[in-house]
Amino acid sequence: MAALLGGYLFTTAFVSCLAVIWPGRLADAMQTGLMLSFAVYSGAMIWTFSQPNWQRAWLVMLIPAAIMWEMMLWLS
Amino acid sequence: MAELNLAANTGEIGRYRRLMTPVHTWAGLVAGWLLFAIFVTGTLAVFDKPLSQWLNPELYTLTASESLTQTQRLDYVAKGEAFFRQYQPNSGFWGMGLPNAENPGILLFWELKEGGLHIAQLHPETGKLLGPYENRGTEGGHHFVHTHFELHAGNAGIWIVGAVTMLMLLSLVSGVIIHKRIFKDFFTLRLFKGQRSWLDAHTLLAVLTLPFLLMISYSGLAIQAKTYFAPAITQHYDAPFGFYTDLMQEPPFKTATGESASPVSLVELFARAEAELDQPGFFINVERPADSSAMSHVFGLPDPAVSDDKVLYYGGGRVQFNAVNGEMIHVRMPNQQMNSGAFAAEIMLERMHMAEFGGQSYRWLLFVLGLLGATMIAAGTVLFWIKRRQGNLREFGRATPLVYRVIETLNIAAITGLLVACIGFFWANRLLPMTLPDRAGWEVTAFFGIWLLMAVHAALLPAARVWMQQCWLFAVLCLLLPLINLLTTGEHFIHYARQGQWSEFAVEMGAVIFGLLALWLSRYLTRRAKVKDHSALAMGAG
Repeated sequence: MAALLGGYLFTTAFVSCLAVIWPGRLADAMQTGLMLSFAVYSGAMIWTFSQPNWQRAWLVMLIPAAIMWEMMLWLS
Repeated sequence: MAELNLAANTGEIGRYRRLMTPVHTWAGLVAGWLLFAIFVTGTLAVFDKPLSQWLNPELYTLTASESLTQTQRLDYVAKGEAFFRQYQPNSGFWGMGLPNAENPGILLFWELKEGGLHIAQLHPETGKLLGPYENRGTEGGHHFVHTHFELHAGNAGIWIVGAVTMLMLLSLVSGVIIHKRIFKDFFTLRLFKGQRSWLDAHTLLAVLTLPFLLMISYSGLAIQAKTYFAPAITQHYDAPFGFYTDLMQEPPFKTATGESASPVSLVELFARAEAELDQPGFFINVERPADSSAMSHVFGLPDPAVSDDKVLYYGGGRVQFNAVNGEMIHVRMPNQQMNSGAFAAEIMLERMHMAEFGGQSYRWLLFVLGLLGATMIAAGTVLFWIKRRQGNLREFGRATPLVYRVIETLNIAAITGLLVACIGFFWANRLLPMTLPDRAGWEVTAFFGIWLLMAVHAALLPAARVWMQQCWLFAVLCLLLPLINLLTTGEHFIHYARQGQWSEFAVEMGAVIFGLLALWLSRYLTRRAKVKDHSALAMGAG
């Protein structure tokens, strides 16, 4: 659950954040994020499974997701 | 010191590998049921056009010339336009494709009031709608494309397929992590040795097709990323459309104004677009034809000589018009480069996934790899089952036997049940009455109905018998397909071969070959079941 849903939130935050920090046009940056999204997603899922328990798994997904989301809101 | 470090390292990796095993087992099993269906229908979808030709024999008595002259093209556009103006003046969308080898009629699409697109074809000579005896009510090979990417369930289907594909990607990555001796085991195949054989088959096929599996799952997900990560897009754009037009550097989409208007002559727009692109057109559409915001696009015919050769091809070009005053708004030339690496990446992934380059040889390659992939998945789910049957792992306490029974039922329904449903679709295509209203919809209903029936069959009878019976059923339905075709349409493969209708011939031969394979497998299963009975008897006597 943490992997599938947490990973999804993590990746969504990543894609929307990358759109504002990647150099070049917004649309290109967005597209770059979308193309990388599933590599990020599978990496995130594998990472959650290496956590000792599900609480930790949620934390490692949600904290970076929240940071990226804040950064995106602040920059855009 | 170095040795110590190495030891610690192996320990850590070993722990991680053990951790990945249940991930691989369960993600693989749950996704495996639907993935098998997605792989089989996707493999058939590679040849959707030949399948359509077999599935709609009346339509292909019309023969379209390989290349149309400009007079012909404009004449066809005029016929389609006349139909739209007379019968569908207030529809929200008109689309028209010119006759070609795949669609010998004039292909029309229009938006229905209740939503969704209606598809029909006009006779290229008379300009009249083709009736049920000229254009069979069927989705044709496209049925398999739809099942492959959305399970005929619209957006919900796209999300379900996405979720199991994601689990597949996870299974692939965790599978590689588990499999430390990936190259050594590659050369080990222990045939007909029970569990070891299933494990070896699963691993061998997966390793052999790994590049294909990674490519097909990643590209499948990435070309739908706009849907899956829409929440990320809407943070920066008002609508997903806004992102698309910004990416393509095109004028923004318009919305309906509510003022009624009438579009200018489509024939004229088509002719001007052809002159601008210096290339024949093949498709024209009008968005909101009855509204003053009406827009029209004319698409240039992709040049097969360029498109077949290159993975990266930007299409045959497109001209955008204001459909109310005929003003040319935007032009994209054939194969015009877009200065965006990420966009180029998507085009390449899409063309690799959908076999849009490389011609027939690439299609056959995908077909064979798809079949191997499907076999790998089936072997994986069977392997799961055999392991559980041998040693009861008591994973679910007292409910374990019940859970195992459910898993076994789903295994059968997902594998042989789906195969029977696929061949059943071809039977439904020949057996349903020609004038049945919404005949195409009934064919799809038959497909899912048969699938459900097979699941019920698997739930009611002992598993070993159901495997055997469904395997026999699949074999019989495949082998008798040419007969039912002969009885209903009078066509058969000798005639196909004589007429040079190689697509239809290949479809029929394909069914026979799969039938023979299934026959061999069911004989093997039956014989093994008998041997087991005998040894049980012998043990009882002893």
